[in-house]
This record gives sequence, structure tokens and C-alpha cells, in this order.
Amino acid sequence: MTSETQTTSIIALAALIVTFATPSVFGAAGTVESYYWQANTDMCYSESSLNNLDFEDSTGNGSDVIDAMELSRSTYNAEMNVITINGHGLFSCFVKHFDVQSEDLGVPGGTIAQETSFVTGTSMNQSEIRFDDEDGWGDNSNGCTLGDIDVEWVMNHEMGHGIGLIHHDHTTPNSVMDPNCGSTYSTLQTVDDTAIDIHYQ
Amino acid sequence: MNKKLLMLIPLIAAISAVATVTVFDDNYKVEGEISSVIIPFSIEKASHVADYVIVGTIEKMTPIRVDMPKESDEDRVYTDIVINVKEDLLEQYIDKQISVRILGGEASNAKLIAKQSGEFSIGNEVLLFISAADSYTYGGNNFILAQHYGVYDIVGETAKNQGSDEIFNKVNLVSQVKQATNLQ
Repeated sequence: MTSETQTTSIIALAALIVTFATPSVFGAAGTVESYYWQANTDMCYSESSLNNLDFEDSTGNGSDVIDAMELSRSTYNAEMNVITINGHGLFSCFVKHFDVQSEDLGVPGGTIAQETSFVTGTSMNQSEIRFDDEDGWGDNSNGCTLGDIDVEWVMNHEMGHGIGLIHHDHTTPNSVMDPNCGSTYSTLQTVDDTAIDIHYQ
Repeated sequence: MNKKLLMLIPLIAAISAVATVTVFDDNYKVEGEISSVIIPFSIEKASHVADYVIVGTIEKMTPIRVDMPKESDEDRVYTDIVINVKEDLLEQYIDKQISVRILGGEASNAKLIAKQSGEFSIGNEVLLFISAADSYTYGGNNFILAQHYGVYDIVGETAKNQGSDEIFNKVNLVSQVKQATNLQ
């Protein structure tokens, strides 16, 4: 066999290996990924889109939103006895238009944020968190005043969904998973810690 | 082995790889659940924002899976709801039926739970605050403003908001909508 033929054969073999070893972009059906959390993995990709958020009445402050995310992640990190995250795909954060016409009419509101959990059986594959880019976010209102929606509350709330917490509909005890925006409790409360312990310890 | 055949193998492999990437895998099973943070509109504001405020009965519900590659922000299952229109309180809609798209449903090996989209049953009478189709939301289909906060179940003379569970007198609700838009 000549060297040229040998080279060609090696290339062909390598191509075949790559073809069959690389998962389809759309994922192998039924892949189960138990979800863990890694402290140093990027929480969100598409972070640049967060610069489009109206935060404290201006745009280009995506870093402030990311800071809220980091704080929230650290909080959950500490509560969940974190082991490791499978790549960056656990949480993906996007900016999204919701209820566009209301904003066009100068009436912000409607859907302001949304979390989608993708699961296989009881295991989560991915969580997506989306923020409306027109409703006006802020960092200190501890509530849902339009134009100054508490990003910390929403982030802690949505990430709670991302790790498996559901809405807490009771009037007591207090919870960050209260479904009503504007809850006084923008950080994790005792009942939330208890629920996390059930899942993660 | 024939040299020409050997040189074809990488080409065949490359074509196979591309085919794997671009063919939509309808067998890809997806399950998920959506939770939303919603700031409800007042009846007055909703009446101004909505394009239509439809009173009617649910005729048909059809789930649809929309393009669900694994790493996209548009992997979704929706349900298209057809309503037989009794009246548009805003006096804008004139057809006998209207279709709205809500998040959630089960179709083509994909299931998405979206409790805040509202609950609907064929034959039930509802009042819906509807935004007309736009390019950003719900793939260009009509949708319900503020999800289940824009849905009222009509039973007799009462109208119950699905989002807040608040119960209204149907006549009073209709009157509020019409007054908000100076149609009464």
C-alpha cells in the first residue's frame, strides 16, 4: 500500500469514527442526564442578549442581571450540596418578547418571565429561563412594580423551578416560590430550604 | 482496495454527517413543563390592550409540535383552540370562529405542560382577551393576553377568572369591558 493510499485510508477511517461517535445535534432519544450543578460552569449562554433588557431604565446593563443570576446560583449552590454540572446546557437564559402589543401600547405587564424544564422521566435535561425585554427590570424594589421588577426575586423564583420546585400556593409559610410577583420574599425561605433538602440530600 | 473507492469514503461519511444534522427527528421524545411569572392586567387595561374580547364556546382543540431541535429556544408544543364566536365585546371581530394558540399540549412524541395557559374543554363557554397574531409571540397566531388571567369561564350568570379565581357577574364584566373602550 502506498503512503498516499495509507493516508487516504486513515482519513476515511477517522471520518467514519467521527460520524458514528458524534451524537446527533438533536440528541439521542431517551438520553437521561441526572442534573447536578457545577460551581464554575457558565449559568447562561446567550448572555449578550441580556444587554437588551431594560434594567433600571436603561439598556446595556446585562451584567447587573448576570450578577443576580450568579448570586442566585451561589445561593442554590450552597443549598443543594452541589456536585457537578453537565456542561453549560443546564440553564440557558434568553431574552424574549412576551405580550409585545401591550408594550407597544405603553402598558407593560403580562408574561414577564418564563422557565421551561425539559425532563426525561424524573431527570431534568435542561432548563430555560427567559426574561421579557420590555417590561423594565430593577434591583431593589422587592416587588413587581412595572419598570422596576425585582430581578432578584424573579431569578430566585425561576431557578427554583429549574431545580424542581413548584409554586407554593399557601399563604404561610413564606416562600420564594409564591406564584404572585411582588412577594416580599425575594430570597430563599425556610420552607424552600426544606424542599431543596428533600430533593438534594 | 481501489484508490478511487477509498477516496469516496470520506465524502460519503461527510454526507452522512450532514444528513444526520439536518433531518428533523420526529422520534425525539421531549417532555417539559413551563412556569411563568405573569403580571395580570386590570380589566380596563386588558380591554385597551386586547384586539378582541371574545365570548364564545370551545369548538375544537388541536395540539401541535413546533420544530423541536434540542438546543433551540423555540422547542415547544402548543394547542390551537377554535372558538365559536358569540360576540366580540370590542366589536372588531366579525367571523364566526376564531383560533388562538396556547402553550402546552401533547403531540408527536412531545409533551409540554403549561398550567398557566388555562384549562379548556370542548363545549364550555369562555370570555377571552385576545391579542391578534404578531411575529414575536406564538408563531404568528392569535394568543390570549396574560395567559390564564385572560380567560374567564362563563357558567350561567357568573364569569370566573382562571388566573385569579375571582368571580364576576357576567353582565358586570361585560359592562366593564365596554365602558373601558367607550362602547357603552
